[in-house]
Amino acid sequence: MVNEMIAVGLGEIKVSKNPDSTLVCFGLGSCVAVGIYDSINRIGGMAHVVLPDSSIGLAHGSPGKYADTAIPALIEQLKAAGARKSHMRVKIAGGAKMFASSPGLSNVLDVGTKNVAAVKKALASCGLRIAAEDCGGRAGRTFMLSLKDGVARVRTLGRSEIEL
Amino acid sequence: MTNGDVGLGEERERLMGRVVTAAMAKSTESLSKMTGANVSIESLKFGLVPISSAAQLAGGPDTPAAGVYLSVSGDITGHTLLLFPQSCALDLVDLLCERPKGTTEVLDCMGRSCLGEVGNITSTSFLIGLSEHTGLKLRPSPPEVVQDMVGAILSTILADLGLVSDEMFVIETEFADEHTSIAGVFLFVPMGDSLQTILSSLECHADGE
Repeated sequence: MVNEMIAVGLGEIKVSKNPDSTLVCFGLGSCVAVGIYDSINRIGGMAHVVLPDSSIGLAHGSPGKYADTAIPALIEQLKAAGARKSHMRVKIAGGAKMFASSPGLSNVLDVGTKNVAAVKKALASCGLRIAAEDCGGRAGRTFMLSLKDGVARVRTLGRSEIEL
Repeated sequence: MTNGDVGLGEERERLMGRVVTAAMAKSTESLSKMTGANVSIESLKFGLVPISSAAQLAGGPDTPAAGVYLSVSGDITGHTLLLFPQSCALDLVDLLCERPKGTTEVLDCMGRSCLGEVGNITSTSFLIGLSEHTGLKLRPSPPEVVQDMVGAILSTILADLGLVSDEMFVIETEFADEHTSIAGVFLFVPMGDSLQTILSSLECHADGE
């Protein structure tokens, strides 16, 4: 069976029950990818979080854009697909600081750190703990979650691929 | 994104097309003087794109790239980003340093400086062109060179834009010369009401002509 790559774009949430698929967030910078996997029912989902808090922007569009709305929405979509919260394992990656000193991006210079903190807070509010993470730093990442076994991998330019 | 459907309306699209073409011509002229090559525009597209699909620009989100970022302040706020696939960035450094193609294998301090200057000249020339056609005062920041995946570079800018909009206005162009393919992509992203300010100023200037 050919492994299906399911790309999760900016602000998107995707859930799959196909064990031969891999959910992928390509080229994460300050964004955070949240991957959740139910190993018993073999259902997985991923959110590509762009910003920490829906109250700081115009709270419209996809709930996947903001950490505080993306996490509950992802959990609900997983439950609707048949996953159980007690079986969910969470892995996250991203939240890098890509620009060092650009004044025009002053509002978001530290958005990566804020995204990671907001994702952790939202997960805690929903009663989920993080099993593994690769966050922060100055490098972009591609985050992949295999729905065959729940193994997550992180690819970074200039570094060997790591398993979470 | 095509010039046939930019979401601006026919008249504004025509005015915007004229100023974008003129401003990019100024950029390529400056780039040609700097490189000593005959740099031209291969393609020129502009329009509104959803933020969710913006990371597909410039080769896709996990394509290795080198970018030169400048912020814009003054009468409008926004961002400019000149993005090159990694291999083209290295070729460009060879061109600027008058070395045989393939000599530069990593972007060292000198290479970053060269690339930063290319980005600086391209962006500021564009902004001068835009200013001449609109009468707007535009102030660019110093350039910042960043190397990483396209998506990782773009997403930080998109996060800034994402505070206020689900769409962004993008000018996308590719450069080339007769010897070395310089497949750079230039993005100009006005923030918030800045696109409206540019369009209003263009209309005022057009009325005065």
